[in-house]
Amino acid sequence: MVDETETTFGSEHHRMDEYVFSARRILTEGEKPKLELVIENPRVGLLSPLRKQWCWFAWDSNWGGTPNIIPQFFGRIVGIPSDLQAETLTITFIAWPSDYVKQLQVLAETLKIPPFYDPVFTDVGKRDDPMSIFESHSKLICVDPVTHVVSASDILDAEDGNVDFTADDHFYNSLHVSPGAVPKTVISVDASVSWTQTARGYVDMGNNLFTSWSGDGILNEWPKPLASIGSGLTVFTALAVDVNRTADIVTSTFSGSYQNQEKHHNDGDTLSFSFSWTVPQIHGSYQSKQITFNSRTGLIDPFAVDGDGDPSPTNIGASVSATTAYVPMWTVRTSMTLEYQAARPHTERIIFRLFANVQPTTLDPNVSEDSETITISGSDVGVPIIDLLNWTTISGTHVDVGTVIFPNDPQLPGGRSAQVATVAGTAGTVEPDFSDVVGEITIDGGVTWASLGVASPTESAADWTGVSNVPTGTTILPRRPIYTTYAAFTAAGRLQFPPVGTPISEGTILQDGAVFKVCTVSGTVGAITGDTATLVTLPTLPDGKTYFIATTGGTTGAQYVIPNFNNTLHATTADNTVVWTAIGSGDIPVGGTPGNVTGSTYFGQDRGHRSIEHLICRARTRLRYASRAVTSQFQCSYLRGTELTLRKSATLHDYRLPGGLILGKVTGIEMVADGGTFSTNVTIQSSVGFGETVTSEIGDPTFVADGYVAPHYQVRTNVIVLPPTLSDVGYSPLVPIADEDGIRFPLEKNMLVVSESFIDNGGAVAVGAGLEAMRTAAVQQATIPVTSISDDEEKQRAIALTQSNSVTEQLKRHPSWYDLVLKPINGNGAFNHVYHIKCTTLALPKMIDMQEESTS
Amino acid sequence: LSNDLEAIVRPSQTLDYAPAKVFYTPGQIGTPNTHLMIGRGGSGKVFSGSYNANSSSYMTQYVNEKKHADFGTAF
Repeated sequence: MVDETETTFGSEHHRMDEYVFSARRILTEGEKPKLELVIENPRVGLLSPLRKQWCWFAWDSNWGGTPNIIPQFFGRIVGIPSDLQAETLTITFIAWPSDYVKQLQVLAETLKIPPFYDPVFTDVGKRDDPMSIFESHSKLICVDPVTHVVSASDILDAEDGNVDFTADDHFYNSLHVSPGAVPKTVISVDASVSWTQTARGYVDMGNNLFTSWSGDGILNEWPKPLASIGSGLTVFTALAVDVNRTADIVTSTFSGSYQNQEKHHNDGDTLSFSFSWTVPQIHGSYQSKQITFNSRTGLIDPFAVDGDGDPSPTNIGASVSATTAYVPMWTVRTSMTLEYQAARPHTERIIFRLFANVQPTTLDPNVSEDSETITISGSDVGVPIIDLLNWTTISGTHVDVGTVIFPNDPQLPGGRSAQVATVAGTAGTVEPDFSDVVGEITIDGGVTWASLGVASPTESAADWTGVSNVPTGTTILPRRPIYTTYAAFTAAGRLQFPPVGTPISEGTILQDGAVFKVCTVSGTVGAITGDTATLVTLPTLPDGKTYFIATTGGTTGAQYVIPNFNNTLHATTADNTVVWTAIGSGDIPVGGTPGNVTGSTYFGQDRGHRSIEHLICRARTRLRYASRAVTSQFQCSYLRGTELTLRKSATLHDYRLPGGLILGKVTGIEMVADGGTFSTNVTIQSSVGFGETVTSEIGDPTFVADGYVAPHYQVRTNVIVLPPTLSDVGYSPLVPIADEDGIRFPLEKNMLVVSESFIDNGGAVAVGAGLEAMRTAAVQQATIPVTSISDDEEKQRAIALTQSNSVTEQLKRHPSWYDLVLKPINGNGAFNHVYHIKCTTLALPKMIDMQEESTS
Repeated sequence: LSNDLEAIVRPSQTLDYAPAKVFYTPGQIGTPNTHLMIGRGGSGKVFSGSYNANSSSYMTQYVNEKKHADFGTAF
């Protein structure tokens, strides 16, 4: 019996502290090594702190000769044995190193490699959990019974080589070969991921020049800035200009007169002439129609007499009067810029089946336990992946600011709170008591941790906001805001005469040369009289992909005035009383930066292929494990048993076996020393595959001959891609399809517009008809005789009917308009795709040929 | 651009893959297109014009005798 610290076996351990009647060292795959000793009852408290509780167990392979002491086990006693009153006790030791958790964690870190590890399909709270990491590896944990080294050993492949056993090396009657469970032949995988496609920006809808008899409608109805015109779309700038200023047409009157100033006149000489002409000042084309016309011819008759024959000289001046109606053609020039804010939920689902190519072990059609379905949902691939570590991973190591950990033991107070490092340093080696209270500090060696609270660690960090209280440890991701140029924003106002300012609301950001300006008090900008809004200069804008952590809590600065964040890793930025420290960039699986996640497919891109390969690995692991359908047990000498470890395979040669041999991964080693008999019981498990390999294939071109187009346009069939480091399975990568609505980002007008046209329902004819109606009404007014009250009513009715066909009414009946149909940006809800991908069959080692005959 | 081209040259995928299918969220109705008809309310504008002209001419004012007065019936 020894102390825990005596980890190195030396000559000082060549002794026997307890009289051992029998010993059994048991190594079982996936379990810690055990040692069972039957000893003389020492009649003492075995678990007394005064006693040594660890033991070294060794064997002299050359008993009676020159000693050859082979250490075989180092472990601790695990409990008080039963039958304490007996003369002999069976006590059990376990090779359970004190740093087992740390070793396991370190081992797991080495296994966090693609395609076996994919945080997308690992719960955020278990991303550093060794068991979760092992899930897609066909490996089990192996603890060396002597050195206590914790390692991973594949369930089929022997890392430390093979040990051959000939027929002479094992006892004839000890051999038992039996099939176990029916091997799984297929795993069905149904996996899905979701994300929200987000994007912000502007779409220039272009300029239009409309000519219309009812263009006042376009002027009045042209969308105004900030108006919402559909799902995800608002008007950013809009301008409709009355090119010919038709709305402001003035009517001018011209008049003139003439007076004959001569002293002597003859009859008929014109003494005076006057005219008055009133006409609208129309720029551009128009229709007009004379409505009324009256004229009088002048008459001079100095000698005219009346009816009585008395002199009655007549001098009637000539006159003419006319009225005309004018209808101008409107010319309207328009421009419009739309702001889009896309938030389009996407779901992608892949379904595949992975078949194992195994030898048949049963013909029973009722056996249905040969398949399994894995249904798994991934994380939101539209937000950055948090690299969450267990505390064990960083214990005793340097920790940078911003590192997020999860305490190892969720049962302890504080054990359910993620912690973030706010002061870098070297973490301690004993896990501290963490706090559940948000922002509360825990000192861990040289590291200062701030609690993030008991809520599950969120994968989406908030944007920066002004005038906000933030506790220490708060993580933010300042988004890059959208902005436009000062010139573009004020263009609408500046194009008017006289130029006017453009209204600006609080929070709007304008780029003015090399700097940005944010509006903090609304008003107008761009007027020649100066700005009425208050603009504050921002030297830079956040890049939208760098995370910051509040290493000093407090209150952030003024609203809208985004601090000049320093994106350099670990650089600090002062923000009123808060100090932010840059902690690097996040990795968004589907691509992009927060707020600008424009990817329309996940599984169709490289990162998604990694996830597909990971899912294949998950299925592969289960099939490989289940492929060990034959279990063999045999007994060999104790000495041969010392050659075996759980990291080796064994080949057993025996003429009674199919083909005369069987290969198997060692899954159990029981070395027994009892009553002078020393022997080893060995268990091996054999895969019943066919031993093929899978090779990658570039596939056959089906679109055009190779070389005719760039490779990414080519279409191929029978493409086989192997996941990295694997040669037993392959798959055909999928080709993504675009979203059904054809919208991609950055958005362009042609993606958004379904149809765009100007519809003219005969405006010119309508105006002509209206003018004719006006003329007719005037004629009716002048010519329909009225001799009675009923006549008067009839006349009024006729005139009213005619006037109902006026120009205004005609144009309302025959409207013209700008017709624009736009797709919705958001809310379509149909971006859910399911892909079926094709995998090769999984090639498995042939460790036994069940179809061979025995060699006897 | 590449996606547009793919949509043209590869309307469906190859036999290696099942064509992607859309699955709909139960109960969710797609948002309809936005249809803007700008200017339908226009009614045009009508202006009135007029023309008036007058002239006067000289005429000699002759002294014209009235007819002899009829002083009544003859006696």
